[in-house]
Amino acid sequence: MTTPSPAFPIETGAPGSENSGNMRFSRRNLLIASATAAAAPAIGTAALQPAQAQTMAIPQRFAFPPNRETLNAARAMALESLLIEKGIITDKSVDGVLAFFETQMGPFNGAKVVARAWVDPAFKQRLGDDTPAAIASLNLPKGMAGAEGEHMRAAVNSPTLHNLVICTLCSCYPWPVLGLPPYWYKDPTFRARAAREPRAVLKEFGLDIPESVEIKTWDSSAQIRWFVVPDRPAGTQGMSEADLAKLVTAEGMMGVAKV
Amino acid sequence: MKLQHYLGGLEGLGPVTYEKRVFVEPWETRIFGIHVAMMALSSQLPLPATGSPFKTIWTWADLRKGAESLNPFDYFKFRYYEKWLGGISGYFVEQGYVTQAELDARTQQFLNASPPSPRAGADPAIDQRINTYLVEGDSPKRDSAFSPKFAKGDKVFVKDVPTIEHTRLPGYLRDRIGVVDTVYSGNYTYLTSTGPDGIGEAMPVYCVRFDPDDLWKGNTEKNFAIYADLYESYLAKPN
Repeated sequence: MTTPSPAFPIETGAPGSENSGNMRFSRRNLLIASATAAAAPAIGTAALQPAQAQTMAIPQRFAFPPNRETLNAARAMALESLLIEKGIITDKSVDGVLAFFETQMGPFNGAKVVARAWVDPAFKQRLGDDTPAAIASLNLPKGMAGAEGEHMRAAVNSPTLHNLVICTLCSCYPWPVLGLPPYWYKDPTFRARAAREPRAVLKEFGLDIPESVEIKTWDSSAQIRWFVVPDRPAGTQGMSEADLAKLVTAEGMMGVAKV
Repeated sequence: MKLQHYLGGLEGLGPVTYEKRVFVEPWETRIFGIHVAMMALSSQLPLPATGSPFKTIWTWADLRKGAESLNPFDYFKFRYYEKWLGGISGYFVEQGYVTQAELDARTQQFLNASPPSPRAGADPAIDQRINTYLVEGDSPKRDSAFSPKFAKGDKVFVKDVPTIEHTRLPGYLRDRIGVVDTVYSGNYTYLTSTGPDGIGEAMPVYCVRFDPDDLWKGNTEKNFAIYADLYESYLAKPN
């Protein structure tokens, strides 16, 4: 009989090593337990079926096929290929979308908005009060109120306030100014923990926000797509607006990094 | 109750993953692009018709419903775009645009590294429409006569509405009391009716402030407030 490999490690020592001997669920103990179950007299209940039948009945809930990504890739390419063949999309549609996010919608827009706020206090005030109007007043590409940016709000940091944007239900993100959400933002661990313990989470991102600074977390659950206006870094006096924009990162505009 | 609606505040998860890439496998770009194309071609958008045979509705609500209907263990097992791949492929099969057999056969062809070249020459108006959707968006703001029931500073009670398959009400806020911080101007529709959950029709939306210690008594951080944007039908006057 084969013992299925566990979905998560249940031993601390190397398999079969003496270090694992005091673990209650060492592989050795499991094998002994299985052998005992197999040798037990059958009394006709499902619970006392031979060990092999028992292990076969346990679903491999967390197992992935060995070719997980190859299979995913083949499935994605197969779908795209069939959609093109049936005229549902064109052979340029997917590449066109990706190019749009390379050139038209991305953090390079948000960086310009933030840099303007750093050099123009009246604009910064307006950005916090009426984000769409403030953004529309800048010379940015068309589409700043486009997909996933129809209703945006800027949360402005200060020396006594740090803002953090999350989406506990999915992955709402302000596409026109930030482009597409990075993996960390969509990961369930970040979404779950940032709601209850943002300071601890930010520390893991390398950002230490002292308790004297208030944290406001914004959970994007309706029409608003939020972004953060980080503080202007020290030592940047005299820098041009264009050079300041080069300092601004997507992480800074979601509140998980300083600029 | 669906665990997916109750992510906020979940404990015991271990450290966050600071992976800054949007797509962690190259294939993920393809399913993302397909999704945007579907959003743009979705029949409720007031955009010029194209030669695409795609005539049904596909919105964020459809994508989210798919993820929220998963077995919660699968929800955590599969990566973000793996859930998209499953949900979107399933939609095309359910709606009859492709068959499962076609999809399986084509997948096998790609696994054998002998991909056919898809026939080009589909209507260029399709790509024009995708671009228009990205630039113009799909605002849910509607002119309607509803005036907001609550004002800035009002205390509001968050109902525990009977969600069937999809909601925009985070679980950790249900049965809690918050304070209205912003009354958004205008009314906002949701992409689909969520039935007894209560959203769909255009209604006021509020940004509501919550004291984390009211949500997770003695088990949260100091000098911290959490805000959520909530549709009016999720809110009531506290007793």
